[in-house]
Amino acid sequence: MPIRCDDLKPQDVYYILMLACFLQSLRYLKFYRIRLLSLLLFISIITELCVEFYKCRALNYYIFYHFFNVAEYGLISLILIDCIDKPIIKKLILWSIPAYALASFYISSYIQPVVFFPAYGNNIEGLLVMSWCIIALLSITPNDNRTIFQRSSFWIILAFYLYFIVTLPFNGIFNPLMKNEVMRTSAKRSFNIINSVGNCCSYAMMLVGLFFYKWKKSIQQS
Amino acid sequence: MEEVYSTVIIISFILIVLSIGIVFAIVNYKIKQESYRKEKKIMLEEFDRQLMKSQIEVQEMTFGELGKDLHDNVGQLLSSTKMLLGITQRTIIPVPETLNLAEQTLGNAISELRSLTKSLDKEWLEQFDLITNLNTEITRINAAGMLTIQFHHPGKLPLDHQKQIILFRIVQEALQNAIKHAECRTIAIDIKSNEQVISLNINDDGKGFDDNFNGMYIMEMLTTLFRAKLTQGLADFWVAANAIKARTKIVI
Repeated sequence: MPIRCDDLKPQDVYYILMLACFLQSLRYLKFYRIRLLSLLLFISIITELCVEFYKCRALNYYIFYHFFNVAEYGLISLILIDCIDKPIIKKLILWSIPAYALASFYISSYIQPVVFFPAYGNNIEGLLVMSWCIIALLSITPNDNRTIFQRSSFWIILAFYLYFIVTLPFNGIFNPLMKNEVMRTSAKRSFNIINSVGNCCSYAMMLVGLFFYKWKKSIQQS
Repeated sequence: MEEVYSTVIIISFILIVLSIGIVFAIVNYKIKQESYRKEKKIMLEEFDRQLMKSQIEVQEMTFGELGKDLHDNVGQLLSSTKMLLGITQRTIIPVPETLNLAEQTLGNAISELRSLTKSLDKEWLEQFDLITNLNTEITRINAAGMLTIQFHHPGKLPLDHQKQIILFRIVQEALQNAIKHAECRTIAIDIKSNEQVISLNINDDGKGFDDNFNGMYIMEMLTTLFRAKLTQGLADFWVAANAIKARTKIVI
């Protein structure tokens, strides 16, 4: 049966972009940060597949996000550590990974159980990642004549930064909205749209970043 | 709903602060890139300077070795020959005029050789200032009678030995070029000095650049440019009234 444009949901676009990023990242596995990025994308794909599977069966799928958040934060932090040169900040980020994992475990166990959307975990993760992103952006050091917009690290950091900027406000108000019977349906729809837009922008920037890996390789060869 | 509003306000504030971060990152990168470019330029200039300096040092060493060889070997041979001629003069009576002329010519040759070896010897150069050295060199060339060199200078120059030697080599190079290629009759060397700049002008009345303007000449001109750059100065060449002019300016 042919696929019509009406059938295409917003998240389908970002699934396609995510898959494209994953496939593109496989070409640059010799770089440590790209290996981590590939792993993150792979885990994202698996999580989304599980979520879609549970959605189809009308089951509660939030549990996957509780685990995914910890893995996502760990991997994003490791990628950003690789872009930062100050040892003290590297250590701080490194120590924040187990700290976040413990905090997330505590929140999931006692404050926001796994049947709820992990809003607190998401918000803490978002604030931490955005802070690390700012430090990483300021740490980009020029080593040739390329502008900041021609550097892959800029686009990849910006991809993380933008995703959390877009999703953070809504993550904060998602659970209170879900408690309200009248707003529940529109909250879910809005969350889907905002999450998809954030992901689309993020993966598009990631693709640009991966393209610049290719570009840098080509200018080195010429 | 109050919870929702307060969350929106707090997060909006965080977003504004963090968005400014991106702008800062871009500005920060621009500043870093500018200083990186400056550093790179300085490094390249330093590299060029070191390279030129080593080239000049090698050339000075070669000149020194050449001068020593000329003085020790050729000079000795010529002195022995002069001594033998003197002995011969004493045994032959009357002394033939050709023998006297030969002895006189040999004396001139020894004197020429001595001047030449002196001008090649860096240690000797360091004992005198540029003006004294140039005067010796000009006297030597003028004595040959092929051309006339006019020399105008302000007296003592406020320059260190290293720069004086480099300037001396620039003049030597220019004189050699004029003698070898220009077919000129007169060369004018004019040195002017004020508190900040020393300017050296060398003009000849030769044929200037022509169709046979060869690569060797270009190499010699480039050497002069390198030498001038080594003294943090400038050199340029141009043709006026069918003759080559060379000018070097050095900031003190």
